[in-house]
Amino acid sequence: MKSSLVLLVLIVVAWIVGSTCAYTVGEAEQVIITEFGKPIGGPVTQAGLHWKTPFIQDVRRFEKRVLRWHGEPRETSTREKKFIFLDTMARWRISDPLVFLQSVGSVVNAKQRLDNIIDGVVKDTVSSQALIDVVRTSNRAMQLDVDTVDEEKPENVTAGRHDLMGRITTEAAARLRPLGIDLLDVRITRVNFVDRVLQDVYRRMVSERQRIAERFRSEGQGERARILGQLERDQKKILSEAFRDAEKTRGDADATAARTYAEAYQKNPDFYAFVKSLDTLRIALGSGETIAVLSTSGELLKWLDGTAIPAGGH
Amino acid sequence: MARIRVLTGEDGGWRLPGAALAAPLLLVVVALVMAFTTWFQVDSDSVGVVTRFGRLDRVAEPGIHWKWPAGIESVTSVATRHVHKMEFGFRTASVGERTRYESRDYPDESLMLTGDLNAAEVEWIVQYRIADPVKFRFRVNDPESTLRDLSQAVMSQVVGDHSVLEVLTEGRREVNAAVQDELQKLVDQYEIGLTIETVQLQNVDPPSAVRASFNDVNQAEQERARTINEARQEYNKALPLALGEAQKQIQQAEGYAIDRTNRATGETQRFLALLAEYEKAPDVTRRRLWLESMGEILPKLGRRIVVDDDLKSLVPLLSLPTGATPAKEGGR
Repeated sequence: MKSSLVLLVLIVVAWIVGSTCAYTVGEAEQVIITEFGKPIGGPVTQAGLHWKTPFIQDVRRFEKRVLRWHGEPRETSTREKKFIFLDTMARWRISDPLVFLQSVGSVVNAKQRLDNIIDGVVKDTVSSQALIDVVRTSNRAMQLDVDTVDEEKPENVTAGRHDLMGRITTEAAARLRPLGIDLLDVRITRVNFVDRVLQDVYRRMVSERQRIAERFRSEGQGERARILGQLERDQKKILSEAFRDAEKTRGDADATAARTYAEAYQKNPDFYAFVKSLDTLRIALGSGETIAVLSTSGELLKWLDGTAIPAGGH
Repeated sequence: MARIRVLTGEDGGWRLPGAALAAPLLLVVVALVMAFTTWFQVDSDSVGVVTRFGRLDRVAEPGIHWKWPAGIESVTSVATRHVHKMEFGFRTASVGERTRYESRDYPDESLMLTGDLNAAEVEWIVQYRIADPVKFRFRVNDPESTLRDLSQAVMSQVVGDHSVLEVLTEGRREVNAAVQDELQKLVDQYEIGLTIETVQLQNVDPPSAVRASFNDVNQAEQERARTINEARQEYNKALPLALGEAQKQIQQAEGYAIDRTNRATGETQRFLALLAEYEKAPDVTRRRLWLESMGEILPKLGRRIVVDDDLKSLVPLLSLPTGATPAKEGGR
């Protein structure tokens, strides 16, 4: 009974000593030891178990990892007085916790300083920059709608976004270094026009689309007219060729027939005229309406008279 | 609390045997806590990052492992085999038989400027794996948000270098690849310990304010195709008709030609045959032909009036029907 009580007391004492004399530093941390608020020695960056004087020394912990800063979207104007919203982010690190502790104190304070400095530098840099250099990175040849008019073709990039971000980072980093802060980079996460300008952009996009739609429609109508024209042409061509060939065939046949007739009838034109006349009479007088006045002195009716009967032979 | 109440007893006073009992009991409790914190389990899709007094000691593979008890070693498990997904511009509301998406948009993420200073709404996903659990835990504070920021920065940069036409249509693949490359480069540079598996554009649309006119362009394109097709259809319908009509004319002409030549041949052959006979006996044949013809013609005539040559004024005798032309048989 007694021994277990002793053991318990020992454990409690060990725990108290351990928690006041020893401290741990995580892989993600760095530590400054302060004695009555005054920093003692350099920063402890090695992770693991460390010793300190109990009760009078305090442990101030700082992030060792890279930290994230995300700015509020800011309205900025570019060199050509176009108003845009810029969303920026930055990576930073506490490079010197001692200086950081003295000049800034905490991460919350640091973020405020970052807000001020980065926003300021971004605004200053962007306002002397052409919009195209904020939006584009390179002069890569972009594929545009075929009928994009020249005024709407994007201008060329002189520096580009990479360069812009580089300059912002360098300048802001220089101002943050005295605070024990290492600014790794500043990046633009989003660029957009402010609402008012955006409405103009939308109007422009709508009119551009309408132009393209109109082009498509009139292309359709034009092609239709062309096809119908071709139809008329092809129809005329086919029918007239057919007419030409048909007439030629008829003509050839007429010629052949004429030659055949001529060759035959030339053998005895008189006889032909006689036979043909008889045929024609047969056809011309064939209808029942005709009234014939026949003279008894004619070839046929002279027999009716009786006087013309040849005497010979009877 | 319950234990203390029991130990203090009903009368509320301290009793030495009770206090003596408390010490071993506490020891047992401490021992149990120690025992329960001396092992840990790592799931099959993860690894366990073990730190001793805060310092990285080892990385444990899936399974059951021993460690020093609470306060000395601690474990964080990191899902390294799992593929994580981040959504930009939209959110999946529920995944089921049919995945549902939140109806609201996230224009703060999706609306961006293109290189030709137009605007587009771009939605995309990033899939990534934790490749290096140590870097993931210890190099960057809040690695997921960092990746989110970087994805947006890179997408905005890449879209800013493409025209709206490219982003909406053929350039998508190129944008995916460019963003993935650039993002991996930055992730490596920041030592976040991630591998970007895929960057995939989802819906890329014109901003809602101009969507109608973009649709109108599509409609106009359809209309163009339809108009052209209709014209072609008309052409295809009318042309065979013309060809048929042409064939008909040619065939008719050929029919005429055959008819004409055959008739000529027939008629002349008949004439020649007759002529041959005529030449053998011209007078008789001529007379016979004439008389035969008369024999045929006369019975067909409507009225036949025989007039003697002595009759001088014939006309008053006749009441000719109007319009009928008198034909006079003159004989030879």
